[in-house]
Amino acid sequence: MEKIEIHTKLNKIFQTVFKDSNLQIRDDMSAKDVAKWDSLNHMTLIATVEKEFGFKFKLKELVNMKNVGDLLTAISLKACQ
Amino acid sequence: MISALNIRKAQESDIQFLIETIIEAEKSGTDKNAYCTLFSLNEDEFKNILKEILLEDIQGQELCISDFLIAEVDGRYAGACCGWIEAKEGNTSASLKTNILYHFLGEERIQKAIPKLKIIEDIQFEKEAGCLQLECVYVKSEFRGQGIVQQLFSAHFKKNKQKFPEFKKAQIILAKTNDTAYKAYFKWGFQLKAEKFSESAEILRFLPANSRILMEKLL
Repeated sequence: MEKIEIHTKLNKIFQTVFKDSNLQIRDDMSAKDVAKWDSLNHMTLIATVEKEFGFKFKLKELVNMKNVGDLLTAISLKACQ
Repeated sequence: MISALNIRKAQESDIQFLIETIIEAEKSGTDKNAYCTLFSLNEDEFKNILKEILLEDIQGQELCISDFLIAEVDGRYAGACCGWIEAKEGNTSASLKTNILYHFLGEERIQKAIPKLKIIEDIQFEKEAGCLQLECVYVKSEFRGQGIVQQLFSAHFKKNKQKFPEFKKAQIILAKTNDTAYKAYFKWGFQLKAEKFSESAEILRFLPANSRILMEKLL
């Protein structure tokens, strides 16, 4: 899957999970930048990403992600496997 | 103050005592273990999951072997307490714990817990980045009243000051009903910083108390 495809798909997931059709993800975006990005929505976000992209994150992958850029990288790496 | 007290870093071999510590600290003198009530686990299921979590040793949150100090009296387990500098690697303890629980409990159990988790949101505090967070404070009943918690706190202050001299505050969150702990912490220099209360009658089905307080101490 191309990076641009991943970015577009992930952006759509963010818009759905956080119920904001205007939300545009950035590499440096993190929970503090998105009003409804709390623990509950975070779990929904991860579950949706895993379901939509068809894989499960390892624990170390989850805890090492600090922002959307890290999430995009993790998805890209898994998409290549 | 007892004389034969030894405070040391926890190791993997202490895991059973850490499981006891985490569960008893969570219950706070009641029969309610929030991990069990919120995620529909029995205590044995939770203990098995907790052991797997502890073995991962993810630092920066309370379910981590490396962030615990243990107090021993004459070689016997007496107490323990977890402490870490909040968000020192970038991720908050809340986000780390969320990822850990999601990974080990699975989506289905998490989704079922969401209505209950929404109820307890009212009394959740956001931990302040750069502050020493003290959690999972426990002393076995036969060793209480002997200054062990104060020694554990002092050991955490010293340990973290050596590694992170810039940190200036320690914070602790407790049930408002825990008067014994409040009075002890106040005596040791902790001040009441904030209070949260839930009007939901349901919350007491899941948690030991419907109110929490945040105390802090400048170091």
